[in-house]
Amino acid sequence: MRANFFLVLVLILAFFFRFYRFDLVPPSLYWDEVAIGYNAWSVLTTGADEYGHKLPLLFESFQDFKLPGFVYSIVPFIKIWGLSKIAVRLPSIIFGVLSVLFLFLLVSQLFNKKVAILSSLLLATTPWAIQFSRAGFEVNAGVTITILSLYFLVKSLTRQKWLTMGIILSAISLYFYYTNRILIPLFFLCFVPFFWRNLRQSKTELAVSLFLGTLLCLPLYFLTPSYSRFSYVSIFNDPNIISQAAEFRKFDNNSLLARFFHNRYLVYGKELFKNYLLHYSSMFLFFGADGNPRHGIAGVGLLHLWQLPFLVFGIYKLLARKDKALKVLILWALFAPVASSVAEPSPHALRALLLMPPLLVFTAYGLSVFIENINYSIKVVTSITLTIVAFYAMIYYFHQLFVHYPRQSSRDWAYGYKEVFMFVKNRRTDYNNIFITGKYWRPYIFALFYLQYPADKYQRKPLHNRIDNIYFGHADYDTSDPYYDYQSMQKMEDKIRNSSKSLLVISPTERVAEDNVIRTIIDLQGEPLFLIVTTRS
Amino acid sequence: MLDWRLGLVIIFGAILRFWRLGLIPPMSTQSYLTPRFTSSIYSLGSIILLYYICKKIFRVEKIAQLSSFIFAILPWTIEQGRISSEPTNVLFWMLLILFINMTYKNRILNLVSILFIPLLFYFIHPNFWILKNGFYLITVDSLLKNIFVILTPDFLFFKNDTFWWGGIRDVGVLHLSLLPFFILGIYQLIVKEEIKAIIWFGICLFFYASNPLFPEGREFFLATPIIALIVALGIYQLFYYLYSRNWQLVLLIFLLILVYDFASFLHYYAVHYQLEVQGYLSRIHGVF
Repeated sequence: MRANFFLVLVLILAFFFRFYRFDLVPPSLYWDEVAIGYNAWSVLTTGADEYGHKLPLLFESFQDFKLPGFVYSIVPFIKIWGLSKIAVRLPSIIFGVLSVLFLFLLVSQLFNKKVAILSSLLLATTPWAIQFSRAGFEVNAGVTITILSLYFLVKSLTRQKWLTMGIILSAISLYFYYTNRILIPLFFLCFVPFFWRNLRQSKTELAVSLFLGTLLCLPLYFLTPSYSRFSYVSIFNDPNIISQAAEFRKFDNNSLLARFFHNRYLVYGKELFKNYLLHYSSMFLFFGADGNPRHGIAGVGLLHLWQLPFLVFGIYKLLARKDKALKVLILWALFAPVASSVAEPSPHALRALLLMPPLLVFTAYGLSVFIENINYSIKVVTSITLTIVAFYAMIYYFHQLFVHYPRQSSRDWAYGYKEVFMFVKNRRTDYNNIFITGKYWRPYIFALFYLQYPADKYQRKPLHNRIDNIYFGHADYDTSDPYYDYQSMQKMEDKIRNSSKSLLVISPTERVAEDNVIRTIIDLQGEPLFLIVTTRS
Repeated sequence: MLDWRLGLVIIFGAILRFWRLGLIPPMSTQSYLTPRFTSSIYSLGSIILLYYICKKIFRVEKIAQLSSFIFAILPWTIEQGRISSEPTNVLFWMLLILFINMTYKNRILNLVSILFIPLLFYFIHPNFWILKNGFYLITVDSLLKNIFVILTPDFLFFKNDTFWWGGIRDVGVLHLSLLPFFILGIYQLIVKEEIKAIIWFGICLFFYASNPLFPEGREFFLATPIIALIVALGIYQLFYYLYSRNWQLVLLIFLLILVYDFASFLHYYAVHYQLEVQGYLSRIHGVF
């Protein structure tokens, strides 16, 4: 009863930390959020994605394929709120809160209610979880479903009837985020033999569940095209990694010994292992996130620094238990960064988000054992001190998050596009042509989202360089978009520039002397981001 | 009577330190062989001292043998044992003082030998940051960050920031193949409550992390005996599991990986490293 009361408090806290000012922090919707939102809207209104594929299992987006789980889960919210920030972000917030609840259930099965409450409290307040719950990140949903699937799997060790549920949920989690495609099979490869003694009592159920689970997963493995984003980010496609080895082999006259010592597979293996190990690095976890401003706040770690001693202590104490809690958590913690290690850059806070829950459970367990074992006379003082330290860390984090982070990261969150298209929306008919710079990458998706461009109309001719009389530029490095007509756009850009009835939205560096600036859109640090200009010619 | 296994370790350590000493790493016109030779002698002496110290602490022959062997093959001790290296020299004297303290229970001798340590630093390691810069105040935040940098896998296994002091950029303190033993060893160190070893490690960590030139200082080199000891404890612990065939196989696989890793390091050091430093010889001649 007491545990339930605390759980409700923790859930309220989790919701508050995720929901409070979600429309301002992070400051705007970024590329993936608007793409997910628009595709969900497209499915709702036409039954197809932006390219006209009927109820797809993979959503083509920016030369990548988004998994369907999160996109479809947004559809009801789009139905209620339309194409808006709340519709895109609220599902993620809800998934974030649910993850707190599911972790409580899972840890209750592995340990006791006290450790469960502590774990869920840590998950509710940890920067790593909050960061990915406040914006529309698919990974957040993936982690939530994974925790729930693990809960049923662990429960099935004592009551076999939950096994099917656990396996089906594991299979479903594969439809939410890519890293699960590596974690889940690896986990099952060890889970079944480790708990064979428990699972063999219901062999038929296990076989049927595994068969069902595999059947559910198969479409994903077969449908994913070879040119997915993985091929761009995979370390195996990075020639720089083996360039030194190739150079050394050449120097060694490509001898047998040279091939032995400078073997490309071993070089890749070492790189992979290095990436893997760096996910456990204290610098990554407690100091600097991964350098991507969307994944964390500069100077604030993914986990709070005060948690470190309890994390270490928790692992140390858990190693002595040798029970199912140890096996499940160690497997989880060891396999979670594998998928993220294959890709670059690494370590990666988003791709390795699955690593967070086991680390928090270790910490909660360490904290619980520590408090239990200290002398009664200093227990109160220690608890108060710890609470003050944790509270300070939390307040510091929220100060950074709400006061400084939006300013520092507004450009990384694609700030300014909304203002641009709100301006353009009312003036579309006043100009013959409108040009939007591509310097800040793929403006077309923001146009579709903020102009609420009818999906059926766009599906007829899905181009990234044009919507009616609005033309989009491209970033210098973005030269291989199959939906972008580079040749015609080059001519079109000159034509728009020389036309008197044109409106241009450009970056400050693209301005020429003849431009007549009618509005400047600044970022949250006060720096000019977009210039809305007309030509004087 | 010298233990034959220690004899093998000494011979192996000597080969790693003296073989082609005048050629690897390459010498510049301003380099001298004598300081390099002195470092090699000191480095070899540290291998022997570490054996006797560990033997006195643990009273287990195998841990002592393993510690000195691991110390002998650590990339950083080999690199520093083949160049004019102040930390190598300081480390030898520190180990000697420790050994004297453990062997002779004479208070005056013990006190004098401990007082001798700062003096040693002054004469042998004038680049030690306190001697060079005076006391330097570092913020707690920076100190913590530096400590965390040192404890990252990147620093321990994949890179060495002391290139201008003779370190190899892409090789850390330890061979990557020693990682499982290192983890197991840390666990053992905590379980066995080897407080003195932890304190020694902590002091080296602190001095290195508070170096104003961090990460280019070499104070952490003085922690290499502890690192060797940690790995040795890990390997020794694995011996316990040897009754199981599975663990024998695991150990065999680890050992094969270690052999490959070590051979690969030696190949790089003997063949490619000299080419890599060729263009920088004028700037690193002080240690070469």
